[in-house]
Amino acid sequence: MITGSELLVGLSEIQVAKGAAMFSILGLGSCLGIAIRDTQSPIGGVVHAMLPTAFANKPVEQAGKFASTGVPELIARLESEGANRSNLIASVVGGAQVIGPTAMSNGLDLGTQNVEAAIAALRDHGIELKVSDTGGANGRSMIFNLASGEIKVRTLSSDEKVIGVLC
Amino acid sequence: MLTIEDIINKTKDLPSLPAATLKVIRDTESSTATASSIANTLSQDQSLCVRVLRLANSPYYGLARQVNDLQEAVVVLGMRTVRNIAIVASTYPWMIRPLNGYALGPKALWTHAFSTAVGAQIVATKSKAKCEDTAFTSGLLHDVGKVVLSLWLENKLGALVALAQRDNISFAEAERKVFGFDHTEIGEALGNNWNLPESLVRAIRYHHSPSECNPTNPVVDCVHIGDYLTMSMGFGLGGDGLLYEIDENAWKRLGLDGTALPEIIDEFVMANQKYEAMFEELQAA
Repeated sequence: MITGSELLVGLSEIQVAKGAAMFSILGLGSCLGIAIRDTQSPIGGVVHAMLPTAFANKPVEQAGKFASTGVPELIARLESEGANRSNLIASVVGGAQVIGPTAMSNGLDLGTQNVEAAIAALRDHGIELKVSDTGGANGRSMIFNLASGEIKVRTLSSDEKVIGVLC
Repeated sequence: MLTIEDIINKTKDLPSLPAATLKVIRDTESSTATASSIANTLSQDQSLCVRVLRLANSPYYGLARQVNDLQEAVVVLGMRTVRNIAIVASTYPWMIRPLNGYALGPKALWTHAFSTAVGAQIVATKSKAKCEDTAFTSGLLHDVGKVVLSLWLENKLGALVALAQRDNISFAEAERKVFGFDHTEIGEALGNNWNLPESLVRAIRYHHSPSECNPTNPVVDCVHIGDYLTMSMGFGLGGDGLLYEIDENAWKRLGLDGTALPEIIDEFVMANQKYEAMFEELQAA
């Protein structure tokens, strides 16, 4: 748990903080930046998930690798830092994918699968999805200001913009 | 309207490969090359020779003991691995430059090219296509055309992205609408100027349209999928993002489909992380 700092969240990582932290994820393609925050206190965190669900035949070594395991692990870490489950709200950013109909029909629509898995995991754990910017074919970078709850997104062909606030 | 030749002739600082590297690429495609002939060729370029030895001794290759001369490196690592090291050492200096036309920052093209090489190699292994080394080389060079076209794209990127999104076409097709050709065709012309082996030139030309390659070629298919893996994981993404189509027939020809994707991605990401040690050697070399 880190307080008052800028946190770069790498692939498959989960990071949690309290107070004035600024989380960032650079270069989201089909991967997701899932941010969860307590609305009543500045406790929050981010998971940088790259795949939708865990492998059936392998143990999960990094919960943050998958949306389905990253979300419950992030919730558990937030609760251990004092967050209240009933106050948690979430944001999902990323899930871009290549264009054309082929990807959709052949299981190559990784971005869509990731987004669906994250939404399902949040729903299963009773977390409201308040902010989202997903799909399309743009790479994104995400910044989550824990103190204010602001979620900002930047693409390489457009300027940074606030897409919503987790509070 | 400008032709591909015009673009190449008018572009300053065209990317280049040392003569020794080009000769090694051609020689390793022939059956007459030997450890000695490859070492002799590389040793004609002392600066390249030093960088190749440094990379060969990097932790990534995990040699039990240090190799001190090129012939020994070729014997221990194999001709094609040394060939790939020579290409890595030769392309790194110009691939780390920013490409403003594609909104690629410093090292972004390198990250994208290297990850595609790693991805193409993994896909070749998974598919048993028996072209792992050529897939790596082709993956590394697949976007060389962007280095040239970037200069001509400056201030046009936003318009091309908007065109692609409005008409639901790929970024390569948007390039063709605006310029009359795309970065794969520029890359093909450069590859031909360098006299690269045909399979490499075809991978550069058809990496976004592998089914148009006649006859189809597993190296092209592997690079197409390696590029898809790299874009999906966001490695070295530019302003063109993921605005490219995926060709399911490339997967089918290699005996793969979407069910193999999660495990391939997992292996691909882990392999990229392992290569970080090699990046450090490159920066020092």
